[in-house]
Amino acid sequence: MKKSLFFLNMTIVLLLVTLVIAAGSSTSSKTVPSDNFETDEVARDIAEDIAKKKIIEKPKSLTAEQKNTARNICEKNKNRKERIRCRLKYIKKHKEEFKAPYNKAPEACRRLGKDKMKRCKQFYENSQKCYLKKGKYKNKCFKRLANFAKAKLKDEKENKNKKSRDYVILLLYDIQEKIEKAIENERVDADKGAEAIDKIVEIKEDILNGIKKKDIKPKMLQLRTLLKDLKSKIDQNAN
Amino acid sequence: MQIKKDNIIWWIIIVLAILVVSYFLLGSSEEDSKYDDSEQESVIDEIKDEEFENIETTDQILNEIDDSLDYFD
Repeated sequence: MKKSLFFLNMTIVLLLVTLVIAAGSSTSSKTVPSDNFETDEVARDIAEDIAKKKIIEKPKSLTAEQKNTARNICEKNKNRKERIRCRLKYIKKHKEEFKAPYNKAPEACRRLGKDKMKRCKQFYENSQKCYLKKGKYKNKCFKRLANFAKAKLKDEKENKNKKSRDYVILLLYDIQEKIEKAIENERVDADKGAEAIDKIVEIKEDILNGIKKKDIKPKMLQLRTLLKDLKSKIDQNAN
Repeated sequence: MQIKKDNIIWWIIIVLAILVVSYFLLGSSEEDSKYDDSEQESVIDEIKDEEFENIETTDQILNEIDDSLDYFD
């Protein structure tokens, strides 16, 4: 009797453990980002981008250690605009993207609270795949990340405030990426680029902090002014 | 024998409780980590690519930002 009860108990426990593991693994598989929306055309575009990048890329003269030192020098600047300027100079000099040290969040996320910063970093990481796409595919990618259910913001029914904020952040990153690319290709001066990117970061911080639109609009006007002379140089490679 | 039986029943209840609690804990952490990447994706995937806008130049992006700002609180 004692033995049979022991086996019954063990069987129940094993069964329940199996159920929990099975439930856990099935929910985690739901979260794997699906890329099946990509058409062959998009895949081709990405392949072309990678191929182009390989051709443009110059041989790396710095060792990993030297790169880390250069990056840490930029990070040591107390002033945000100086940090940005330093990174842009690195991009211009070494013809490569500035990768922040592993423990550093993107500029716009740094002054946020712990939870918001975590979300901000994750959002930034998720957005990277969008910048490999172009045109409508990039726009779709942005809207997917911003949780859109429709192709246009005006048609959205719920959470328009949150969706529009996330979408604008992605659009601002897009301008930032273009400025960085233009600096890398020596079409834009690093100092002027730093002014514009600093304003972009400031606006992104406001958006992430839930600042009202009436306070953001004047800053957008300032950004327009800063970009006025840079636009034609930034857009040289645009469609 | 009765005492042993009671013990076993209590053990089953404790194990069940632990499993239920851990199941819900796992479930809720999963909710946190999935962030923006799942549910709505399938909704937007059903929309044709052609319905999205080609926003590439700085002016187009700035105009799109200005339009989107109107939906901010």
